[in-house]
Amino acid sequence: MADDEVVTRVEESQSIDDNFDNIEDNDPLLIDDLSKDKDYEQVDEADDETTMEEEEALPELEDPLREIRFLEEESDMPIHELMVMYGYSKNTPPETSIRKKKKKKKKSSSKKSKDKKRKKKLSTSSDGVAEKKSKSTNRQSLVEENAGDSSNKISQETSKENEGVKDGKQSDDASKLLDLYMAELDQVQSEDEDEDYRPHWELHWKSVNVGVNFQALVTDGLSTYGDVMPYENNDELLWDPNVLGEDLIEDYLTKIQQITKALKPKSKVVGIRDNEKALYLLVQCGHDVAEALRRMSLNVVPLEKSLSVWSEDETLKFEMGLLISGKNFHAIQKEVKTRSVAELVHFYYFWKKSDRHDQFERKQVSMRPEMKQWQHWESEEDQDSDFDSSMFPDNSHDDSEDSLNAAENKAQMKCLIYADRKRQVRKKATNNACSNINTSTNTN
Amino acid sequence: MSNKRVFYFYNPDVGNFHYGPAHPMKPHRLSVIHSLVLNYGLYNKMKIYRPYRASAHDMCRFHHDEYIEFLQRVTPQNLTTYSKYLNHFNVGEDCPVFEGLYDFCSMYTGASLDGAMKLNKNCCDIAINWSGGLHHAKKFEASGFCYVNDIVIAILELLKYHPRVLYIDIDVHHGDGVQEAFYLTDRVMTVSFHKYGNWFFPGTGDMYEIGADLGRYYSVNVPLKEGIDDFSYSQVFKPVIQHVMDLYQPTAIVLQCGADSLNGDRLGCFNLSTKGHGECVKFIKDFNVPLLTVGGGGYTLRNVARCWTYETSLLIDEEISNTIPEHEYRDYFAPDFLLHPEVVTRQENANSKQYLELIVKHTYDNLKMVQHSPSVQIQNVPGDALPTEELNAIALDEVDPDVRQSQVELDRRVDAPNEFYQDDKDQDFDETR
Repeated sequence: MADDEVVTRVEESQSIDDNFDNIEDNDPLLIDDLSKDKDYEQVDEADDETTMEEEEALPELEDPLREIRFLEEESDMPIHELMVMYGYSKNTPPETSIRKKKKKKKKSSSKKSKDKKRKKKLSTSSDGVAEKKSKSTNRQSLVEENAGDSSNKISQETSKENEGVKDGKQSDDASKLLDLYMAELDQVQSEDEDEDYRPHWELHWKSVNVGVNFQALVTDGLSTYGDVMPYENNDELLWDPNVLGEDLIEDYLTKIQQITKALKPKSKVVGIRDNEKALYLLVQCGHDVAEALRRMSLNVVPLEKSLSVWSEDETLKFEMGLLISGKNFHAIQKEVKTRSVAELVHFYYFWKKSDRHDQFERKQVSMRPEMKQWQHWESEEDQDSDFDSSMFPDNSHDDSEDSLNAAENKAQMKCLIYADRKRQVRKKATNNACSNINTSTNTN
Repeated sequence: MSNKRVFYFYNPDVGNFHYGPAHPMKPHRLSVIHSLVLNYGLYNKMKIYRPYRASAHDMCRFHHDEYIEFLQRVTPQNLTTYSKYLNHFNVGEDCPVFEGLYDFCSMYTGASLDGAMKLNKNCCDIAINWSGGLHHAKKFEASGFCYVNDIVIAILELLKYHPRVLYIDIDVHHGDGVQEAFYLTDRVMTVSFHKYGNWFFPGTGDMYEIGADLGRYYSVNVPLKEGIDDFSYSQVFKPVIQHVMDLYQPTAIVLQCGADSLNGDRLGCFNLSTKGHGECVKFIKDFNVPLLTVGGGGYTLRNVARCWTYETSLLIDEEISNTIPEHEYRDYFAPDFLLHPEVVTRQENANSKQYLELIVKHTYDNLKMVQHSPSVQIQNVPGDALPTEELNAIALDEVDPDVRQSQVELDRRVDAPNEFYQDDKDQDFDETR
């Protein structure tokens, strides 16, 4: 974004701030408005640009980040400066600093129309509902802040905490909880500080969206289905255990088994298992066992759930497709035209536990040796039984000392798939440099 | 035989989808679970339905119609023509466009919706849909392998008959989609237990997210750290849920049983065993409140299958052996072929006792406010609609109404003496005599 845009934004927000002042200016305890404002603008100017850059890199979190940046900025100030900036003195009520905070809030949230929950808590004037709340909660957080620690981290914590504190009055326990809660975050933060300006918790703090674009529409009160069911007869009862006794059913299943054995002497059946087709047949026959058995013996219904047998030709085509396209079943389907994608997927899960799969692996390695490692992981994937942590270092949690950079961490929060350890390992293994480029493009 | 009426919803086709190469979400796990359920002999203990398939109209009860239309139209072939929408709807790496995407959504959403409807009609006490539970999907976008939020749609359906619905989420990830959908209402309380911090997906689920407006204090978040074991988990889970049940008194519960909180999950970082996970399900079942059980995450195929098969058996009160029976996917359970394999701890429990105690206390303090908040009372219950509906439903569903009726009533009198609709039931009981 261009510099002049920044300027206009600042102006804009200032005018809004002015409005805000007018609305709020009924506060008699306000001190030294002018000097404070100067102070404020300075901070703001310097901050805006860096924030912009940051925003461009991290489009998803603009609002909270912005806010935290302000707080972060302040943390580097000496305490007396900070106190002056917040107009703090022993006898001054904290209202002025609330106004400060509100202004900042105002600015950042007026910029984006997205309604952020946390914002709302600290409130803009348009968020009428939360206005009162925010005043008191901010005061609360200020009191906490004054109580000894000027670090913005604490103020952040308390502002997060204030909802609980305000109503729960459990400040003692809460602070203990906070220590525990933030422990890991602090630790990482101190390690990060030199190389990366953003504190750790800033990144993994995300707010809840509020607005018509986010919430479900919950109607008031209850309603009835009336005479006509909205979805009548669209499901199908396949089995009801309550009509016939258990003994009868077992007896029926045994008989069915005998019949199928007689029909297909080759198929081996071990023990009595529930046969969904047979049970469904029973339901279809109105739970008339004799009728179901009669129909079964006529072999009206093909009983075995098994896939219609794959021909050698089909299997070869399938393997070929797998070799070329990997597990892209849509592409494989173009090879094996006689089967649907669903059938391919179903077949795949049996095939990969068969002897053919082993042969296939060997063939594949000989054909494309460079793929060896990859394919190994690919095929292990579904069974990936006890892939041990030494082989797959656990990146997602030891990020402080890991090569994962901040952008990657953030991406992980955005995309569930980034937490996949196999994916991480594979990526690393293939090409480290390449993976860096990838992630940077992803996040942009 | 179970004294609960359990309905099981399974679409035989739902397992035959594939998210694409190297994607950890594997719908085929559902086929494996179903096969295990069959081979353990659990199938004939439940009423089985091939569920209704959700229409675009149903999905639009929560989602934006533009988004649903996009899901309906996009295919791997025409992907390029939709390229400008992909980012907009967050479809891409996490949530790829795969063959049959819309059918997949329609199947799992329909199953959850069907379950909610059966609960509403009071046909069953427990509805099971392992294919559902995609709790990350948002109104306007896909997220975290989830496209359509079947849970939200099912809860909206339950809200037609139930003044207060409780949503419980034991997935390792925060149930952000459901929380967001009901963030402003007190008619749904969302309770999520999840890993939080260190950039863990999805980044929300902070303990200070408590809801807003009317819904203030009706979102409960219990952030946990990695490596939590059975004992620590139940130490948090049971008191919190007990408290929620006492204070909120929901008339229906939706339980998301994400199995990625199990030990050894490909994406998760908790150390729960199948037994510990199942314990939570049993705990909730024992409250005897109408319950919709859905699946969710779970990315180590065989563990998911073990977990949900075991939980199916818990829900119908059947004991099943620890040895995996002979079935077509048996090789996936090598080398031990056990239902409850030993827990291999790879991650130390980072949750100190003190932390857990304090987080429970924090939750208690927030829940205290629920009492003071106005809650929806049951005054809106439609006059006699429920009993007649119920009668119709029973007449439709039961082949032998006389026998069933007495059985049902008997069960109910034993099971649920404190149900809010006890009177309706009694009335019903009298009428049918």
